[in-house]
Parts: sequence; C-alpha cells; structure tokens
Amino acid sequence: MARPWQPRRLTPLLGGLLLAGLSGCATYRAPFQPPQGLLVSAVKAPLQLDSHAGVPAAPGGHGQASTFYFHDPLITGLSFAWDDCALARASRNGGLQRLDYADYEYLMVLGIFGRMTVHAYGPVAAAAPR
Amino acid sequence: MATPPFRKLATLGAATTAALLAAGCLVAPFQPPTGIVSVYRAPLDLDMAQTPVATKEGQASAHCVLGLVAWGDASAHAAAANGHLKTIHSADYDYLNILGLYQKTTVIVQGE
Repeated sequence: MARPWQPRRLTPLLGGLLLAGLSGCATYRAPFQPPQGLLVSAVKAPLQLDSHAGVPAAPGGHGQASTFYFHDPLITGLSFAWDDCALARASRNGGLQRLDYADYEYLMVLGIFGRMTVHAYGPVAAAAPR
Repeated sequence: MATPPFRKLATLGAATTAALLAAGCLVAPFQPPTGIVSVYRAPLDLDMAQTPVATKEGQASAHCVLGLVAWGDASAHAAAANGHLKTIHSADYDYLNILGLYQKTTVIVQGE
C-alpha cells in the first residue's frame, strides 16, 4: 500500500537545493576547456585567440591577474570567490600597451581551493619620460 | 526494508561513472562528435579573414587520467614557444580519449 504523501519528505531535497545554491559553482566556463580532474586540475589553455591577421607569438610583455575560490565543506558548506582576473587588470599588471592574445590557467584542488589566472600577452608600453 | 546489495552497487557504479564522465569532458568552440574512444583534430581559432597559410607549427598538451587528475600547459603561448614561432596565424587542437581512462588535449598553433 502506498504511503500517504508527507511534506516532510521534501525537506532533504529543499535542503540540498539551498546548500547547492549557497555553495556556488566550482566549475568554470571558457571557450576552450581541456578535460578536468575530479581531484586535481592544473591546466593552462588558450582563452582568446583571434589570429586572422597574425598575432606576434612573443610580443615581449606578459601580465597576469587571478581570482580565488574557497569551499568550506565541513562547517558551513559555503563557497567564496573573490578578486579580479579581468584582462584590463592583467594587462595593467604587465604594463602592456596592447593586448595580442590571452591564455588562462585553472587550478582546483579537491573542489576546495581554486585559482583562475588570466595571462595577457602584448608589447610593453614605453616608460613615460620623467 | 534493506536495499539489496546489488542495487547499492549498481547505484554506486552509476554515480561514479556519471561523475567521471561529467568531470572529464572537453569543451571547444567547434567539436566533432566525440566517442568513448576518440582521436581527432579540429579547428580552435575560428576567426579567419585572409589568413595566410602558415608553414610552421608548435604544439602544447594537457593530460587527464581517470577523470581524476588533470595537468599540463596547453596554452597558445606554450605552443608558440615550442614551435619557435614569431607570429601566430591560426590554431587547431588534437583530442585523444581512450575509454575516459586517459585523455590528451593538444593545442597546435600555426605561424611563421
């Protein structure tokens, strides 16, 4: 005989959905992603490459900027992500005059600690005369 | 009533398979159909406008084992450096997948 429906049964489902919502999303999106590892990922791949006219492969300058991710699976179950890996920040960090192309570097350890670094390449801006 | 052992085992197996498959997937702007055994090369850079046909190329690879551990530098910068290129004109990628046990992604840049 079927048991009568009890709203209580929804509690684990709702709890799981709430926790999933609060814990953010440890996965990432990029135009080109090599396969990731469940335990550890440490890969570098192209982020943007529009080379139709030909881009300098070694333009001389390099800048990088990172965001960080931390997931607390034991006490709160919450996830946190912070900092700035924008191209503007990366090129500013490298003192670039122009952006030729960009790669990214993805590091994730056990879904607990993550770091996404954007590497920007281009010629270095000439130093301003003093 | 206790769950029969084989059902527990089947559930565990299905969950593990799903996790492995979900973890180890290639994402690319242009992707041919991919099988459990795959060896193919496809375009990576899709922005072509009077693109010169290059004579030299450079490669860089990333690896993934059992969908658990992934490592390697498959960046355009590393590929260009490996091929001693001064200019990049276009890029393709190689994908190798053997039963999800081992996967290798290689970025190939063409240039001068």
